[in-house]
Amino acid sequence: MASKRISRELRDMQRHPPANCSAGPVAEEDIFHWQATIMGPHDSPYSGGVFTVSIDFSSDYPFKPPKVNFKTKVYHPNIDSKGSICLDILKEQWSPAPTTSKVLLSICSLLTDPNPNDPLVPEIAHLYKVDKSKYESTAQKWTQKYAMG
Amino acid sequence: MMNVSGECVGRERCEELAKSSSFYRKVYSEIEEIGWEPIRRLGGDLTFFSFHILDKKGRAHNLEIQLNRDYPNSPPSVSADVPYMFTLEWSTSSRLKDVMHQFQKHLDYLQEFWSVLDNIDKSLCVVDVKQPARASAIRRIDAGNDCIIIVHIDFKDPKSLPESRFIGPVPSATHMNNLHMLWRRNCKRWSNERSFPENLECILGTELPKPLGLQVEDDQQQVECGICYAQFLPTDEELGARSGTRTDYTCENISCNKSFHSLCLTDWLRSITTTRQSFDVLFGNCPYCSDPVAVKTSNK
Repeated sequence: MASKRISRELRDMQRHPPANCSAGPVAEEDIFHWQATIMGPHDSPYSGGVFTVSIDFSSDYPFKPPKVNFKTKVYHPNIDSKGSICLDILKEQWSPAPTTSKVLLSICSLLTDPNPNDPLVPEIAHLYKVDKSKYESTAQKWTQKYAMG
Repeated sequence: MMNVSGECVGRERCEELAKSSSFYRKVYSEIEEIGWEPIRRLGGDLTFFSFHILDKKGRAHNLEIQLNRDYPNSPPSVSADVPYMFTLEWSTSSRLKDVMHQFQKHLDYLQEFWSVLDNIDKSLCVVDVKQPARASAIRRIDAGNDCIIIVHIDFKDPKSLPESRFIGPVPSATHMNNLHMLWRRNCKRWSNERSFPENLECILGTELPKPLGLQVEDDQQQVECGICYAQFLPTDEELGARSGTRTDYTCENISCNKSFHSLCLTDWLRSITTTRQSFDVLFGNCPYCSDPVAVKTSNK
């Protein structure tokens, strides 16, 4: 079942690409391992950046969520240095309903609106709360350094 | 699964051939340019291709291309299930992707034609052909009392007044003659603004028979499982009596109304800790709207 659903999602994504994202298998013969690119939302300090994300489906998909990790370094309260993403629909709030398209859009939303109350990187979350402009300028610097060019 | 393995074999074969002559190298590089995904069938000597192409409305089309040995000096032969084939613009520097592009434009041009036909097929009682060919511009429409209107849709101007003929039982030709008379008298009322069925019923001054089981069947055929995204379960011995079946459970929340194979739904409910079970019934929440669901398990 997993490969059929993944193929279907891939076809749907190719026909109706979500805004600011693109995704597809890394190798044509292996549909379980995708790579996605996310454009930094323009109303966020990540604007102008191009972020690479890996998406790995298990054979239990869609009963288990895909493993999604940032490959580009990003300064964000809910994304750690290994690229792990603290996003509820990828963990305890997973259901078979969202498509990979929607997962990517949720990650875009997370870039625009971090959730400092459920932090993966407490120091960044703290800075976000007490000195937002410094958080934003640091995030911008990281974007320029790691997500451009 | 057959498609996937077939495609892989075909591709490996292509890579071998590409090393043996400039013809194969050229053809291989042009296929790479288009991508391998749309290829449905592939001739072993790389001179025949069948491409699966979706038009803007998601209708599936099959484009077949045959190459001569002196390709690209001579143009490929192109065929598809369309009411007429476009004139291929070709020069020695043209490539297969140009054929694809021209075919796509041709499909775009024919969208209105097919929309009119789809509307007829959906709204009126079309006799004889259950699945008309894409190329067919003719429909035989049940007009009641054993009378049939045969219409021919102009693919250049699909919304215009169609050519029509009336056939019916000879012994009592009254009804058929009446239809014919109404058509002659009222055909000026045909309007591009109205749909084909509306126009037809306006001219004939009567409501026409609707497709009987067709509507129900159409609706059912659209329904896909919200979990596996397929209409039918795979045909698989492991699934026993459920092999190849359609969705059989619908969320009771009217605004959700998602359909599932109960097998997929039970697999999902079993995979989470919040599911409760009482005898052979699993209680949980709809993956889409979170409303309660209760699904009966049974032997896999």
